[in-house]
Amino acid sequence: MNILEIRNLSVKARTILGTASLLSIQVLDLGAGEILGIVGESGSGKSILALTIMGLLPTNVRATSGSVTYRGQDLLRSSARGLSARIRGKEITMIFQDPMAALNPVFTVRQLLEEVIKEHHPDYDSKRVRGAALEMLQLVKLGDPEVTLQKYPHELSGGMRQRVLIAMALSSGAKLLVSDEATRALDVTIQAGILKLLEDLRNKLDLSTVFISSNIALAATVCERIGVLYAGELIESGPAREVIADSRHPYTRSFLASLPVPERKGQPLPIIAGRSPDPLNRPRGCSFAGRCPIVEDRCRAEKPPMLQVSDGHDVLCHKGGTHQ
Amino acid sequence: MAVSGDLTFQRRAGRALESSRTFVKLLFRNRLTGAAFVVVTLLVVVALLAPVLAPYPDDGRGVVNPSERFQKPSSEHIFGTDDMGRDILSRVIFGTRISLSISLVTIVAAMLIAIPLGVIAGYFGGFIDEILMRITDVFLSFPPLLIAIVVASFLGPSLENAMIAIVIAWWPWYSRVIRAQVMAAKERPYVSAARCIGTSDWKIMFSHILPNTIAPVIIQASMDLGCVILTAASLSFIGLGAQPPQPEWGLIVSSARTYILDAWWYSVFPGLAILVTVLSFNLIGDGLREVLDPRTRVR
Amino acid sequence: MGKFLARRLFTGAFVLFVVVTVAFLLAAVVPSDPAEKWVGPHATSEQKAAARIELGLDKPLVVRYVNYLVNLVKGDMGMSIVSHRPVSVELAEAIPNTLELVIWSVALAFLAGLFLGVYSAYKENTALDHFSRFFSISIISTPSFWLALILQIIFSSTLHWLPLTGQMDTVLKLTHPLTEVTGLPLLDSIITGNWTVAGNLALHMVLPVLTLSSFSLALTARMTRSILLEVLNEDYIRAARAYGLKERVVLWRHAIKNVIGTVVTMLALSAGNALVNTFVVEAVFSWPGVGNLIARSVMNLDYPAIIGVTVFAAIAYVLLNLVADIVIALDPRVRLAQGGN
Repeated sequence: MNILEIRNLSVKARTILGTASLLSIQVLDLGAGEILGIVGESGSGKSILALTIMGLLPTNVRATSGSVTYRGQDLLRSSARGLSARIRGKEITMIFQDPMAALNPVFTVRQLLEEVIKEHHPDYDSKRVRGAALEMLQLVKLGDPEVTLQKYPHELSGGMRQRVLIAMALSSGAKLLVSDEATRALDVTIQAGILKLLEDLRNKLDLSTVFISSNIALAATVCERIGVLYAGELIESGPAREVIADSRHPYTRSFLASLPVPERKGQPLPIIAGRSPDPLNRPRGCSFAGRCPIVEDRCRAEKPPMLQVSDGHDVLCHKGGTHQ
Repeated sequence: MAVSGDLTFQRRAGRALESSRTFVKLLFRNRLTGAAFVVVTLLVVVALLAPVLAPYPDDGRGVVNPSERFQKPSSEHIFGTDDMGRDILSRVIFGTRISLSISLVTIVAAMLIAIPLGVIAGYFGGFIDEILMRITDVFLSFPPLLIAIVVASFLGPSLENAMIAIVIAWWPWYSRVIRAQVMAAKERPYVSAARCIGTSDWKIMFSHILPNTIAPVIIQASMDLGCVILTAASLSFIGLGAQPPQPEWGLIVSSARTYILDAWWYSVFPGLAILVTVLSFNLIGDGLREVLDPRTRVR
Repeated sequence: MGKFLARRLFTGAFVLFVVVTVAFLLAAVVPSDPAEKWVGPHATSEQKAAARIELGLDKPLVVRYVNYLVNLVKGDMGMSIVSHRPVSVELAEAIPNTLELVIWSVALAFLAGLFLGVYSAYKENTALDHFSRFFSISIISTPSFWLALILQIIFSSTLHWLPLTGQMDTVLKLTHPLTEVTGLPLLDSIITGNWTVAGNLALHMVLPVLTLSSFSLALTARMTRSILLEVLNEDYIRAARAYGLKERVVLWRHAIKNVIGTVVTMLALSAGNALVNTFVVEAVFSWPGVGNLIARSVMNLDYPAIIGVTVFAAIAYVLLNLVADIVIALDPRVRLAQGGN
């Protein structure tokens, strides 16, 4: 049973230089209780995907076609008012890559947290709201919740801020969490703590998660399934282990090869030559054709089809699965 | 802005702007800016050809016709006539010359004062810089119109003194802009390189740094043209600028004040001329700002 | 915070000192003889000489300057050459009238400007936004003295709804004398329950206040719009929406609270604009305020009065800048930038 289904989604931005194609995804599913990793370099459309699911795209960016279905309801079709009243915040929630930027600097943690709790529990009296706020801070394992409540965001450490943000995000009892590079701005040890927390919360609260990251190795350890974004297109998706060990798209391979690993100590890191294509001016054929080591004429001429490698492992490549 | 920081297409849009053709194309994409450019061009033509275009050139120069006083707008006098029987349209047309030249002359003069001071202060820093900053602090504590009024009232009422007052009120703003630019530019590699090969300070300042820092001041100045016209008109209105019989717009509105009960056209048309001119300059300024500001580029 | 304020106070005092000095020196070097104006065109040379001594013009410049500074600290700004009354008394009469105009204008400009700016930003790129932006830039481009005349033509000479000029009907001064409490006429008339005068004052104030507030209103709207657009693009606004808060709460609580600090500093700027515009607008409405005083002084080259008004304006702006600085310093984010509490 899929909690989230994306079909033929296309997201475009109007700019003063023309229309930019930011995202185009044919098929992407998230099963209930699953953690789905979305990886890609910056500018690949990861954040746009998160904002599309949340219905929070900037005014000049719009999903022009396709569907994003949450439990049978198309989020793109529901009116803005209906979406915010029924689903966004209540059922689907999000955490951000820079918790400092996502916490309003002029409010205390208590004001921020209690406001969200009151919104979702209008029947609570102030004592009960206070209690719920403390509970949420305990849930995200913040020491000394009483003290933390009185603080402003800038008085907290990076890890604490992210925990506060997670507490706010989950106060509504949401079932789907979109995590947009939630650990990117943190030190490695603190990062591990947050990942552990997300794992715990997932089991405790029965959360499904879209885990967006620019770190494919990190995503592979956290997620069951992984989708790779390149230039706004989902070029490969499948079980995490399979995508890592048996990647079929040349971009996924180059991406993996560019990671530093102990076995290749002393050798220079391979880099992917060239630049990802201009979103204002997408190539006619495959988006990766300009940088692909195994490019053919037809790659430049026509869009590649989505090919199935094995059950649940798809690749967007003319030569998908045939090359090794 | 963490999330939108990911929208790299915005940066691409920025890069494309580096070509000047794209810049002009973007500027004119906004129809209001385009219209404003047309209006300003027309105003310049009107100013240059005032004696040819004005239906009664002598009235523009101040010759009085007592028999024609307070004529309502008609086909003969489109904007009507004033208390001295002069054709208001002709006066407004001749006034274009005054307003446009005031704004151009004062802005250029303010830049000529501001640029050397700003460059020297920004380049040498230290004591010189400190003095310039404290002086500009005093100026920037007050709105330019106030400084212009006070200075003009000490200098005595005349158009030339009003222009001097405007220059005095305006130069500190440009000095600040240019100083900040120079301070940033002097750390750039091409300056260190010039210093290494023994180029003199003066040469570095005025042939290496200045050409690379002057653009923001010129842009700022072009945005100020409208504001200067407005300031000059205000000075004339309170009697501190142009003197009769000069056809300065603010002065015409001032003379019309006594007659607003009987001759509405006397004050309405010259004021409208100020509004249209200043609005055009301000719209161009807004257009420039929109195209140059990376945040608004996306839209 | 204390150190910051002390520094700003010092800068303010420095600015005041410079303004007073420059104004005094300018007045001393201009080619106009105050003594001659003091006694009038038909005076004998003995009378002129006596006036020179009376005005202290016979002393060296340095002595006159020091005397002026000493007197200024005591609140004495010399005698007006035109009215032969102390400048300080004339200023004291004019300031409350101007202040009342400025206060109402700023209040109107702030409320209406904020509202317009917020809706303009919120409805970005809609017809309402385009209209409001064009309206604002048109207002900014309109000479305030001309706007005053247009309002007079429409509301006084054509519709006869509002009085053309003046502060109140002269006859009321006799029939309903006003008791002075604060010095601000409208406020006093309300406090003392003098409703006839209050109504009359209010009617007279409509057009000057509309004129004075227009520029600040447009400026506030533009500023609010551009700051709010930036704030609406912040992650914390996305977060507030993502956590299911209502749009009303997101806009008027989360967004506005981050805008208001800057807009309040705009208030100081607005008050400054309104104040300088009174110099132009009061003349149109024959409003007995500081603007009228400087217009009269300028016409008659009444330098003691010109210096007096200049000093008043300098003090007003130094105070306004100080208020703006304090508002900025109170913002929690600025406290953060200065290294925590």
